[in-house]
Amino acid sequence: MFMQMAVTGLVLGSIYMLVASGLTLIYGIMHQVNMAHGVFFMLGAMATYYATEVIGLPYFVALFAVVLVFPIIGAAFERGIFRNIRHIWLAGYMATVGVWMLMEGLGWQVFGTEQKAVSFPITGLIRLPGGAVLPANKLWVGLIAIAIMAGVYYLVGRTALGRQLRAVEQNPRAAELMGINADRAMAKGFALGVTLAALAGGLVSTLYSVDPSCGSTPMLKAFIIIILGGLGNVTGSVIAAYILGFIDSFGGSLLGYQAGHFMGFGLVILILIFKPSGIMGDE
Amino acid sequence: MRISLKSIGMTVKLLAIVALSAGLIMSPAMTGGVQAEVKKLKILSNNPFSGKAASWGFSQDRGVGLAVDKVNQAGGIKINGETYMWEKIQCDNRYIPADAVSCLKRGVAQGAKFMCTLGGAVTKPQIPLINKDKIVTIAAIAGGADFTNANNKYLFRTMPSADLTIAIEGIKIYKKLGVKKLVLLTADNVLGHSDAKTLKNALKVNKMSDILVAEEFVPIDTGDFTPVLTRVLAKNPDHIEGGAWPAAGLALLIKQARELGYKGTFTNLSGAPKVGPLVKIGGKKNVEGVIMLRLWPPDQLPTQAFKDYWAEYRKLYKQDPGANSWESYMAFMHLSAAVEKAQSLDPDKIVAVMRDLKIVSLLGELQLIGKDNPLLPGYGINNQYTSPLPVTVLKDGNPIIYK
Amino acid sequence: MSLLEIKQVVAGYGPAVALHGVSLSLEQGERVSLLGANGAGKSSIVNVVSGLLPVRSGEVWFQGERIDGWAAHRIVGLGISQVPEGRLVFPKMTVWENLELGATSLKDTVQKSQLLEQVFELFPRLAERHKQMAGTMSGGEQQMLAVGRSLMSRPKLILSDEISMGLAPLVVRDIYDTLLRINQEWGVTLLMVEQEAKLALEVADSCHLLESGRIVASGPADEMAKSELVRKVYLAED
Repeated sequence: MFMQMAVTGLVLGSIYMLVASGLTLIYGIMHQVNMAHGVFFMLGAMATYYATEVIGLPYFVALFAVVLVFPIIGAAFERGIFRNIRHIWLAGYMATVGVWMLMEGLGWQVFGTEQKAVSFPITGLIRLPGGAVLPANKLWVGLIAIAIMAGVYYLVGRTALGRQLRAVEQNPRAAELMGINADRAMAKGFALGVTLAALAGGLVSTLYSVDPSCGSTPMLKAFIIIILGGLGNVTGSVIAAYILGFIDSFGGSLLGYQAGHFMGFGLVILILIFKPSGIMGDE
Repeated sequence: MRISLKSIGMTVKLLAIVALSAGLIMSPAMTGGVQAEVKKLKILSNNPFSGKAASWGFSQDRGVGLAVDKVNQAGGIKINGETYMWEKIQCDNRYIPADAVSCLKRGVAQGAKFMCTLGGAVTKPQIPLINKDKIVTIAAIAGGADFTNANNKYLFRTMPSADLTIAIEGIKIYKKLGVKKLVLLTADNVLGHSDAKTLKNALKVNKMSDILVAEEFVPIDTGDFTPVLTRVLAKNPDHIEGGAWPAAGLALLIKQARELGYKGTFTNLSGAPKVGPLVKIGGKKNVEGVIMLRLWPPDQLPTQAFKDYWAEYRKLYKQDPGANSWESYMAFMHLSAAVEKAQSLDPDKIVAVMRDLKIVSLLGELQLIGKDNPLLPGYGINNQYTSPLPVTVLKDGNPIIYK
Repeated sequence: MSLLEIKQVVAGYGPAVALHGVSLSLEQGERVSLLGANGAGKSSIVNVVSGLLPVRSGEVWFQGERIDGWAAHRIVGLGISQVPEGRLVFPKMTVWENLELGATSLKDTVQKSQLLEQVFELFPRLAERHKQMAGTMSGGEQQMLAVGRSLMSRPKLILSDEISMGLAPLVVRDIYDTLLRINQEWGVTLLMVEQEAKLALEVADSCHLLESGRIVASGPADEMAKSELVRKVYLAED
């Protein structure tokens, strides 16, 4: 049972990390919460569903299409809505909540009420020592999540675009004096965050089910993660994602869902009492 | 300062746009079949149209909607020589109790005297208002006498309660399957907890309490059951009762249990999930043999009226109807007939007529039971609809009647 | 044609007007300093040139191109770079990353690495510490980084704002020496805002004195140093 709990914790942690990555990035660059994050997760899942199950594209081709299309959607959303209001925290919050509610409600009209499934091309069950089992699709989604996260690290940490994004985050005025178009850099960062959300939707939807509300729960989990990790800190959110994965796995298996959940949130609150800015947050 | 003021202005504009567009989208649904010069009777559809329970909400809303159209097309109903047309107004409660209460208040303000709603969790907080304002309500709820009792005169239950499903049919099925170690793994809401209460009571009455080895409650929007399954499977159960999962939840529960090596059987006796998504999400092989109530196999429909209903629903919505739809359809037809028979809009007169009125509907004779019925302890009032209840099992991805 | 020409510029922040019709011009290779009390409008002038502060009326011309109304990030590409007040290095990035960012407007990677070498030669300290986080360096080192970073865009005109602020006199002297060297060797024109009047008069060829958003006196630095007004008020001599 221990082995199973450990494996489940790792898988859940990887999934949580992937969902939180885009949110962390957008918060990190803009210091603004995007309550519509779950909408892009859902749209990514829906896009993958329609591309594979309706149009009949191979799964990975569909994912690639998501990577191509969602930067455009993200940039349009940033230009049309987010840019005008990002200066005011509450306005950004309210407007993105509005988009969330609107899109979710619209989703039930447009996509219908039937819950949908996207199948992952790799199936089967991997038997691990200690009697644990790991479905192959979960293993692959977890590995892809880790690869995507490594990609995010490289992009933010090592590329010119990443440097520009961090410069804008640390001081948009100084960034302008370097010749960086701060607005455009933020749009790129936002588009990247949206694409990560959609990609997470396309991957995670193969493990669970797809409906117009399927982004809400992952998004709320992602919010816990970015607060626990230290707002905007990518490494912090990775650590927090795995902490939460292990809490959910060990707590759920050892104590049952309710007690596990209670203990888990207790632990989160405890960490925040001693480190209010989160695990890797600035004091 | 200048910048912030300007941005606030833009935000307000933006929110206005969002609100306006939301209004535009909702408005066709809000106004229903508008006909001038005719008196209207409004029924509030207080249902989840978003969130994990949305499929139930749409199912009930469409059932009532089809019934409303049916009555209106036949010329409405006549009370004291005046013609009344039904109008359905929708409000999305997202399956959140507080939202359902606001929806009810809004509906009352809009002049609704009748309501359809569903889910014990969201119906419970509405009960004081339903009683106070005498809103004649048809509701799909599974909980027992805590909903249907002599104090709740205006609340009529469209679906069979857990007393009829889990306590009577469930025990029969468990005995037939020879269940030795039963796990209840159900939703962490009023419905789930009430199912658990009913199940434990029924096991006790039947001297089978020792077969229940674990009970767990998880949120209705759970995607990953692996942790909690790891816990309950350690007890080596041979049967898992899901209670009232919607399709996706049940499908994922079964799929993940199978992945963890569970070989036993499943029932989901309180809810009636759609078969299509259940098979698609859970995988045909995994869901084989799952036993459910309130599901009619499309090729084994018992009456012509029901076949017609099935066909019309399919034509309109491109999918098979769910149990909530026909149960609500029948209940509304009964309610409408009672209003006409009462020749009055006085809720007390209407509900008095309803309790004794029998009509022939989709599945044959439809009536209300509950009073002096030994199978329904504590009900004390005829507020439970009853109609033939099929037990079905999934075979090769299709439901067939369970023998 | 002057390198930089400011004509009758009015600018301000919110309801406050910081510049009431200021005009001045700089020739290629000149070193000009702006003198004045706090709030006289010195920083506003450099911010107008770099594009951080929009003009309300008037014109700014650089190398025959009218640039008022341009976004700051575009102006950098013309060859105007600012060493901002308070240095504004990116604290959570390394010295090397800060310098790389300074070269954002350059496309030529060969030119970039040449510039980096030149900056490291001017400030050996930065070479030693190129992997260090900028925020962990001393104030003097950060100011060197700010100057070095501004050189990375291969500027024709450097706008420096309060270089001496909060730094030890020796360090300040060092940095100005480097700026003068850049002026001599690279031919970069300097427009300097300096609170320390003595220093301002020493490092510049010519000087403008500002009061309440207006230029009240201009002239060669040595003449200005002798003027009654400057001596009394800004050099605090009797």
